[in-house]
Amino acid sequence: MNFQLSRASRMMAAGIGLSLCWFVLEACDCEETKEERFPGYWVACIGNKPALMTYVGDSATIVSSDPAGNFNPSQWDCSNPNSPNYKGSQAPSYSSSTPSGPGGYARVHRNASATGSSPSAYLPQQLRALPFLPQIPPLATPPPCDSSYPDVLRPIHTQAIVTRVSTCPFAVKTSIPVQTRPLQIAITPDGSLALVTSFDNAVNFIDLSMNKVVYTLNTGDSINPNGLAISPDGTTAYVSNFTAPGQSYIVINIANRTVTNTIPTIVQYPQGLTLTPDGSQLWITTPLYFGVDVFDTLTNTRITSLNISYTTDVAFNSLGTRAYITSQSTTPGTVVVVDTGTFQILNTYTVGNTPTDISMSYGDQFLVVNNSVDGTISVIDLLQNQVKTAKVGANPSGIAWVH
Amino acid sequence: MVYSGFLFSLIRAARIVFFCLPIGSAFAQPLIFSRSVYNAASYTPAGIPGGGVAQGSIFSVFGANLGPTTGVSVTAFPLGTALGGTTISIVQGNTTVAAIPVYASATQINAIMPSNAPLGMASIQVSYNSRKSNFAPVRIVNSSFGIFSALGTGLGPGIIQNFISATNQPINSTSAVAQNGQAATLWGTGLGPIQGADNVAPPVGNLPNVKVEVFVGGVSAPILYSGRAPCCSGSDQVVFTVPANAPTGCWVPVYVRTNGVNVSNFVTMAIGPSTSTCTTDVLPSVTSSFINGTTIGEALTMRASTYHDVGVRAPVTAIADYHVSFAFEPPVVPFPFNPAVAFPPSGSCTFYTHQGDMLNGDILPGAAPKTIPLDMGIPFLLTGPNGSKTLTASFTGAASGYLGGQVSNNLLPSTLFLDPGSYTVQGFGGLNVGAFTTNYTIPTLLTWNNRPNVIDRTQPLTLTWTGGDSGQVIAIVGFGEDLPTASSAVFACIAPAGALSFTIPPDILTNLPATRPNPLQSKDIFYLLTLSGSSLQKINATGLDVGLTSFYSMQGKTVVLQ
Repeated sequence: MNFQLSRASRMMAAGIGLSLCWFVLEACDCEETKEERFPGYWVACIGNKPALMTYVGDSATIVSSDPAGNFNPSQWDCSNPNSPNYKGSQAPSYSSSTPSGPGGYARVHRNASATGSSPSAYLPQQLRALPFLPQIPPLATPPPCDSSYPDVLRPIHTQAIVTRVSTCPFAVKTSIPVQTRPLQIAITPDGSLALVTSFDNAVNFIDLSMNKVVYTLNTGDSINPNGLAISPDGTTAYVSNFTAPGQSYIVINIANRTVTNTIPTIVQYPQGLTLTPDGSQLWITTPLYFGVDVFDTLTNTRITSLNISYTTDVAFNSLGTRAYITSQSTTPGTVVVVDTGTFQILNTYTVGNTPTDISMSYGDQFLVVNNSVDGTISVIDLLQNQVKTAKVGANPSGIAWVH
Repeated sequence: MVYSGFLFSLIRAARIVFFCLPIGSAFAQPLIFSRSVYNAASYTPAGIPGGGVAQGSIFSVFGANLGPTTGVSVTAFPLGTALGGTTISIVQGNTTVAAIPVYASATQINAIMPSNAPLGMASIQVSYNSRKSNFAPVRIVNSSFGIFSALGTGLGPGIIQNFISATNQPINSTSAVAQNGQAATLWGTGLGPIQGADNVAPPVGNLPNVKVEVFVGGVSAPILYSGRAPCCSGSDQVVFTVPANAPTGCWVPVYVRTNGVNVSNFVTMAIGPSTSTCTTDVLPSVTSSFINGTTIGEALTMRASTYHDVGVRAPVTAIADYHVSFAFEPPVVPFPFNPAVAFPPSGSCTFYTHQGDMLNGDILPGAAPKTIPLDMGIPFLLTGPNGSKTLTASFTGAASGYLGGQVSNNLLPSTLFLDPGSYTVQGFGGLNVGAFTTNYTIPTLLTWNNRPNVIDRTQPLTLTWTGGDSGQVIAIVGFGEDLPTASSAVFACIAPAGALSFTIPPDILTNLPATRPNPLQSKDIFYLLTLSGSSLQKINATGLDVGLTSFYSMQGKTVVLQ
């Protein structure tokens, strides 16, 4: 666990904005490597050619070989793109067309219905961005733990469970069994419900007051749930169908627990789904293909596709006017800044190798990026226009803010 | 019947500069930018309660490749559903209606939302030369009025004609001033739908089924007419009498309320006994300089104290001292307006909205100076009870800086500088402004007696205070920001001289966006801003027609808007 205390302040014509006391919880279990815990690989047909794949962070990634060196492309038949077929008699124990690997993290939301009559209910330890505030140095030591710190939910892909972890102190509180091969998780705005995608054709509904699955939505064999986003009003969930061809995202009515729509995507193997803060647009990334799809959620129609390759995650500023997209198309990787109004690329930051997750701090000053392959975390200071990349070891995966 | 090119050139003027992009070929796919559908007069952001588009109103769409490179306007009735190759569809479920374009260009479309358009959330799609754009969301409402503004920004001087005679109706300005009791005609769009077609000359007469009220300086004005302008589909006229008891000033706020609840954008009009000049009761010398283009310089100091109790683990107070110095020679323009200096009259309130985050540097249109600052020489020296400080410019773009601060809970020990006492500010002279020495006093600050916590926006809110010094001017300034929709609103009310309380009317509060369930997605802060009377002293320096020192205190508190 790594705490980073950050500070944001800025002077504009209107005054100074300040962010204080943000803790970046880097969600990395540094005592084990992912290869030791998550040995999963699979074969997929990409462009009618067999590819060996594994999960790096939340991102499915093509690799040249497995640790044992057993993968041989010539032994695989991709005449049926959706069903790679092993041709050899000595088939290794790959699971065909199914990924494995750790999933993302999601923070359990606080009680979001609090009002100003109960200030203590506003739990984020954060001075809000306001004008005319002085610059404040970081605290020498973080505040002590108390019961108001949030929990973090973590899907364990290979164990078919979701763990609920307290963040201060850092400890597993409970484990919740879910459908096999869980991948990503999201929590409704009121903090009552968590949805978990399982690659094995299911979306799990977890009641967070009981810490148990209360419903499992079977999506059918053609849908392999992966990415997940919940609308700001908590009524709708969007789940990406990690496959190609037939790539799509499904729309789920959370209250009715039903699939209401299936929308084809341009990008193949859609993985990451991120909604703009107002929920009006759904941005879809893919680590295996070209482009980022942007959909209008009112009509579920595509607005545009961005020419950014091998993308894994998107973060928005609080206003939703800027998108920050992690791209693995180069080594090291990049974060591409896009104007969400015009969809023009504004800037590119170089980060570590294989960026997989990105998250924005409150106050819009810091972006945190996990770089899975080289075991680093990059922090982009948007005010100073600087990037600092630090080694944390292992393969950091998932980001949750504790504030 | 011909459309008024005047109106449509006005409504084009403001935003094109913000959205101007290199335009691709005529065959490129049209693109509607995000959050780029507005009432064509108010430009109120969608996240503000008044941010819907009314049936039968003119709305603006911004994007790329939406129409011909050179804009085209309609010229005669009947209007069509296509203009220059551009069509606009309004879609809601299985319902599709065609909007009526009145102006089309590559970057902007102005069109009439059909009176039979479906209410609620709908989607707009533009086609240009048979290529279709993305869908963009729009909230269609029955009535949401916007008043056209002379600067084309949705704020500042309104398109309001002083009625002198049938053939003499000049547009109100600081040099064409209305008198109390005079009739005036206000232009806008969004009163509501009409019966019948929108593409022909509109019906003349008061628009039925919509209650229209006009407020001038907060005073209800008698209505003489409220309905479509005979010339122009989608355009409304409201003829009213400037109330006898409306306050006078150069920028008296004017707004329209429909059906008792829907509040328009606020524009201003000049009211006074003279037909050609106006004065304000707050800092009249500053106003005069701003209007007449004389040189002005100010050396301001400020203490801002903000109590944070929303979205934090524990309440905390942050205090900071600042200085700002500037000198300008404002240009003489037909419609002078800067929201930073265009004060409403005492006893009244004004209201602005903006797309963006005003508390994080997104400033209102017209707030940034348009002229090169006058050179005042090396930084000023300020001497007071806590010693001397050089007023260096710490931040780019303004001679402003931080003098000290304090944050409670031992987060930041006090380095405050602007404590009460006697001060001397000294300028050493530059190319344009000569040397000077001015003494002034920072008084003991007033006490805000009833800092609000949870505010019911439908009810009037009375704030009270005690103390301060004689001649102080109290302003209540409140911000309401909805971050996910990048929508900001700010109001400013000026308390009458000597008042110890002020009641903010519901029309101001209801147009602020409600605080989100997750309070970190909102920024809602009310400030009590005091311009101390004893700090106002003249700076006598060569090169300045008007020179002032002044000290402002801002006492703020985070609030929850329900």
